[in-house]
Amino acid sequence: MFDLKDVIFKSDGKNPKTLLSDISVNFPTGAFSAIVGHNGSGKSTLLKLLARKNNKHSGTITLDNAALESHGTRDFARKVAYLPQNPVVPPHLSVRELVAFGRYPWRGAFGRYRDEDHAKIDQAMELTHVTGFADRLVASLSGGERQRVWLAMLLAQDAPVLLLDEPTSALDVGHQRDILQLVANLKNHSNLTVIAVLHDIDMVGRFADHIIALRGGQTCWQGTARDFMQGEILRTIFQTDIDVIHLPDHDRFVSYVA
Amino acid sequence: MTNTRSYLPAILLALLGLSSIGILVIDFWPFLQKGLAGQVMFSPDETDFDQILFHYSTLPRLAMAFLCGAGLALAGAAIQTVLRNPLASPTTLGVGAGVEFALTIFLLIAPASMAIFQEAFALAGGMIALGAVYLIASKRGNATLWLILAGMIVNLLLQSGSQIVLLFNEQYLQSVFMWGAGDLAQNGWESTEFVLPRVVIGMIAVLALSRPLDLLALGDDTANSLGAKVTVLRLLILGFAVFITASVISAAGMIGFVGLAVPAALRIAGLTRSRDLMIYSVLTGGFVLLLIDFIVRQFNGLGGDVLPTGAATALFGAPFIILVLRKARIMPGTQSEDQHSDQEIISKLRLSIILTITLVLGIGFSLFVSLDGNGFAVLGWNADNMDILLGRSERTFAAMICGAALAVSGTLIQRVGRNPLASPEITGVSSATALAMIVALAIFGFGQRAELMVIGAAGGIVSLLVLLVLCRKFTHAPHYMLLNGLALTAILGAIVRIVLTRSGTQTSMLMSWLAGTTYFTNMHEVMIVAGVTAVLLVVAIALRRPLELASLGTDQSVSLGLGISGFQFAMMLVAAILAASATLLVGPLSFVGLMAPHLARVAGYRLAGGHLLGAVLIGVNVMMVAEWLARNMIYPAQLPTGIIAALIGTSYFLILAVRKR
Repeated sequence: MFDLKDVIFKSDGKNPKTLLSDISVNFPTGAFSAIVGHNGSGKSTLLKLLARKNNKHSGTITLDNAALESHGTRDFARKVAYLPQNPVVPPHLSVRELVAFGRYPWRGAFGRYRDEDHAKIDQAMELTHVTGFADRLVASLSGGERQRVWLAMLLAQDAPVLLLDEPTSALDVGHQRDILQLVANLKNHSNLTVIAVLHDIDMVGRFADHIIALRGGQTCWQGTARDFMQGEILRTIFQTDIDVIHLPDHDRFVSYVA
Repeated sequence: MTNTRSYLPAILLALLGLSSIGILVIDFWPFLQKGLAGQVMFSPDETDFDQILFHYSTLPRLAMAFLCGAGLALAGAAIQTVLRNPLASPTTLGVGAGVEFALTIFLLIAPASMAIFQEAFALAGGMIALGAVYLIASKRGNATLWLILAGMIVNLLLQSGSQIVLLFNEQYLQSVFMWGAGDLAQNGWESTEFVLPRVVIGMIAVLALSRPLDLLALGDDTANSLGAKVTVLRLLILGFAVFITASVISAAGMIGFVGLAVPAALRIAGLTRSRDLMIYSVLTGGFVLLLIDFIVRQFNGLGGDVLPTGAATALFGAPFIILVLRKARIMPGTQSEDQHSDQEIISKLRLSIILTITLVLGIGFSLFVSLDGNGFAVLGWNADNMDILLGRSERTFAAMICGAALAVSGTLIQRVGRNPLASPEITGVSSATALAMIVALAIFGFGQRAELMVIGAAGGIVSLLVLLVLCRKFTHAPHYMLLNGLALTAILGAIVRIVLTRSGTQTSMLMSWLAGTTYFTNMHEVMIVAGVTAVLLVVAIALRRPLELASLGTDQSVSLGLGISGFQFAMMLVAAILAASATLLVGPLSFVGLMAPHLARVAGYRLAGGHLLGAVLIGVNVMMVAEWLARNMIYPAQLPTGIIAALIGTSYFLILAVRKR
């Protein structure tokens, strides 16, 4: 889906800092890819590059074999849906009105919403279980509910790629699981490619298919979830004394800090 | 790093001190050469014109500049420390406007025998204005944004008041206006003798209280538990600060921005303890005003055109504030507090119907009913009254169109800027339009109104672009846009004042136009503005979907396929054109562009299309009422509609500010 080759990204300002250097990775189509790494490793920067929120970079990024920059604004919005870490919550919009904005890339400023648009909106709200509060204001919802509403908007956008920047960072552990489970199910249901920045190692191990680890702006490891959940690998990525234990009942590994 | 920082204020002060000595040497030079410096200072040779001029004009002017600068900077430092707000100052918190209003009233109304009470009156005016600002802001936990906003509202309210009074006393207009622009020109030592003891007393008092001031910085609770009587201390210091300000303004007029910029600059340079800050403020403020006044004097030929120093300080100070806002994030990063997250989804159909009915009834009322000396007078529908009715309908229509144009303009600015407190008046668009028009008037004369409109719109658009460029990094922070707009408005206002003091006989006419009279309008122009407004309103409503999308912020809008920067630019352009058209008819000061969209949103018009229509309904109603009041309130004289609308608008925000929380 996304292919990156020799990507370097520097910050603005008088003393530009190299935030990403020599990134060459490939995000597989139809997989749930997680970008992990310590704070300041460049996770969000990388995701923003993919979402075209950061502009100047050297090297090439291609989406569907065409340069990232070559896609028009609306064309790109039909292909890639992006959820920032702290989306602006409009104080005056209801849930349904917000989700309906997912159709904007397809209908633009003046196009009439047709039956199929309303069907997509309804379906997106159904899949994310927000139909129950369709007529409430987004601002009046709890954090977990809001996050599901944003996901509904992204689904209504009907783009094959979802970019999620720490979608669970403000949620308690139960809601974290719910949201990621939802994303994983949606991915299978609608055949999406998901790329998410995630913090929690165990959640990554539980839900992600493919993992890209960054350290100091460089890719330091990539592979499958099974390979990721090993003490040695986690220690190199996070530079912290971490180890894993095996849960025989679930045949999974969970991490702990020593 | 921190070590080098702490030298910065001292270096700054030394540089300013050296420049000031340089100025003194330049001014004294002709006499130093002849060895007459001592003589000219204390006992000038009464036969030598140069010596008399120097002794009775230049020398007291130097003294006044230093005293006023020192006093205002100290007052600013004290107010900033006491209110724990880095952007508070005598001028931004309404003290200056309060003193000015009180003095204007006193000078025009009070009999000569009451002259000894003048000072008490000015002091009371300043205290009441500051008290009002403080009360409004304290309901909001003294948030910086609200303190500034409250100051702005009180300022505008008092300035409209002063203008109304002045319009009815044209004979004093020129001189009061000159004083209002802050004039340091002296023709004797009286002003210095007046200001010196007062500023010195104020300074000693504030400096004596400066140690407990540091306690205040710890917060009220901590200060209380350490044994300081917080409220008494606070009132005392504020009282002395206002006393200094009132004395300076009484003698020299409005000299803005010294009180804000000097302490702010020193704080950024690394002074944190309040005692140091104040001592440095005294000296730095004095030197700075001496310097600015020196520059101003170079532009003023002998007895020729006069550039008022107060207006010049705004020219120097306001850009500095913009610079400070860019360099240092001295503002607490509060998000917009004005968001109604618990707002219910209510039907606004009934409200729209009520507003429409009010509008129809109101039109009938304002056409047929008027106040004469004895009460309501109702006009019959017959051929004799046709002329009167036609005249009234023209003016009512003009006012309503302005209301609509400003409402649409304000709604667009608030929505696209994602800032519930933005408006053409506050962002400086209206002042820029007015300035462009005034400058154009000087070239084209009053006849060519169509060109004026285009030039005005161009001015408004340029100022809006400047503001957007200044604020592009901080689009989420309403207070940032507000403060930049405030600074921009101050610069433009200063230029307007300078132009006005120089325009001589035209001043009165320009003043009434600035105050927003609908008297000079003609039907042809009103129809043009009506056409422009109608077309742009339809355009805006047609674009309601992207307008709504813009409320999600830049990132999200682009992610959903809206080219936001182009769209924002187009919408701001529309807003500026509308504001300029309305400004041509009703002047720059009306507040309808802030009030109507805000009220519409609070009333429950959530979505862009409804918001636009609701704001238009409200704006039209408000302007209609304002126009009727302006025509009838003090019959047979008439008031400018713009000022009445501003009074309604500011009252609305006062009520809003006091009621919340």
